[in-house]
Amino acid sequence: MGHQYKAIQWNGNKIVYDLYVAAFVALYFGVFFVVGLQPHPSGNAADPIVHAIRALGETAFALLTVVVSIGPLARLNKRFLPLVYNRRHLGVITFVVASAHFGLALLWYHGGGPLNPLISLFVSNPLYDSIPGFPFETLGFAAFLILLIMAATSHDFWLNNLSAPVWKALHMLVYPAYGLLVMHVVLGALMTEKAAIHPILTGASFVFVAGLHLAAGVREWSADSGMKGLKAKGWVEVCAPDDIAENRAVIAPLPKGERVAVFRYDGKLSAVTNVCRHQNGPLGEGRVVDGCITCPWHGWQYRPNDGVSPPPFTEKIATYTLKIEGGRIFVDPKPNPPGTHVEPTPVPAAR
Amino acid sequence: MRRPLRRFHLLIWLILAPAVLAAGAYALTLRPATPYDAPPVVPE
Repeated sequence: MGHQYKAIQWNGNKIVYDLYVAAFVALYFGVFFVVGLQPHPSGNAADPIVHAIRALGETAFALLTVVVSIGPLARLNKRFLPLVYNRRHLGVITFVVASAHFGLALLWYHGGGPLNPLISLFVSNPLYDSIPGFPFETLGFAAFLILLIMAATSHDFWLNNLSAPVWKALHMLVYPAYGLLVMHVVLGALMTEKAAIHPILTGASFVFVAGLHLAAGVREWSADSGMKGLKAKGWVEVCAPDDIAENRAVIAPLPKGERVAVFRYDGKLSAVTNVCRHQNGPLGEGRVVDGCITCPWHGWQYRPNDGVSPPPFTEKIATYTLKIEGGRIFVDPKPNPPGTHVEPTPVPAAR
Repeated sequence: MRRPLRRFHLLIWLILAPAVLAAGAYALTLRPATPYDAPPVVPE
């Protein structure tokens, strides 16, 4: 949380996680490299350097496919939420592998001539007006620049200074980067391989990822559309207290796209904004742990009664006033200033 | 506070998905007949 910055936030779990990812990278790269080096039926064997470049690129693409799938998977199914916790580490590891692919490719294909390798990358193939002959390396370079910006800002220092909405918008560039990489791989494979299986598999990965994002996006949009016609004034009905499981919340839409999370814990009810201060995660999908609302994305915590993070942390989120009438919970849609104490509402005794 | 960018996220994919699929499919139909790594075997 925001108490202090560390270069890389490692703990026991993250170290184990990173070791698993490193093992996956080594295995994926190794299998791709060894299998690809087998002689072609024509008798031609692949060049080891060229094949290492391809194996690194394929490994980075596989990792990025996982990275961009985690978000919508977690939105669609809570079982995938733990993957969000380590997503930034996975993204940075992806960048490291992509850097190895980029560096080796630049040296191998463009490092031996009189031109600067970066200039050679853009001018060695001038077929910019052709789709099948398009210089696919430039698409990979554009994607690499985006990944570089994202890896460089994958740190809570930047998250805090840019603010969560700006930081999230910046990191949404990963989606265009993924599209660029799909075209980089597809066009590259079409130019250099006889069989179409490689571009088809890459396209299938893209269809899978795009389908996940569209499904998650439509679901979010549907959740908000239920508020059409609701006026900004007046109390908003949420649910009955018994509809909320102990230490969990029910999320209710409010006017102007806001959402409130009503938590039930220790026989009480409290309402806070659904937006975590850290990365705008959905607090209402988290639970109350040790008396604190805990964000499901990265574990940031807030006290339910005032929305303040427990010491030594200082983050604050907006609270909402609620009341119970006729056995139903109602929320005042006007948020209280972040950190405002609201006396928890006791859950009425069962009749 | 709203969770920002929800609609922006959907908009990105509504544009990106058809654009990439169309470009990929078009490229697939125009792929070169003789890719680089399938050269004719030259007897030594």
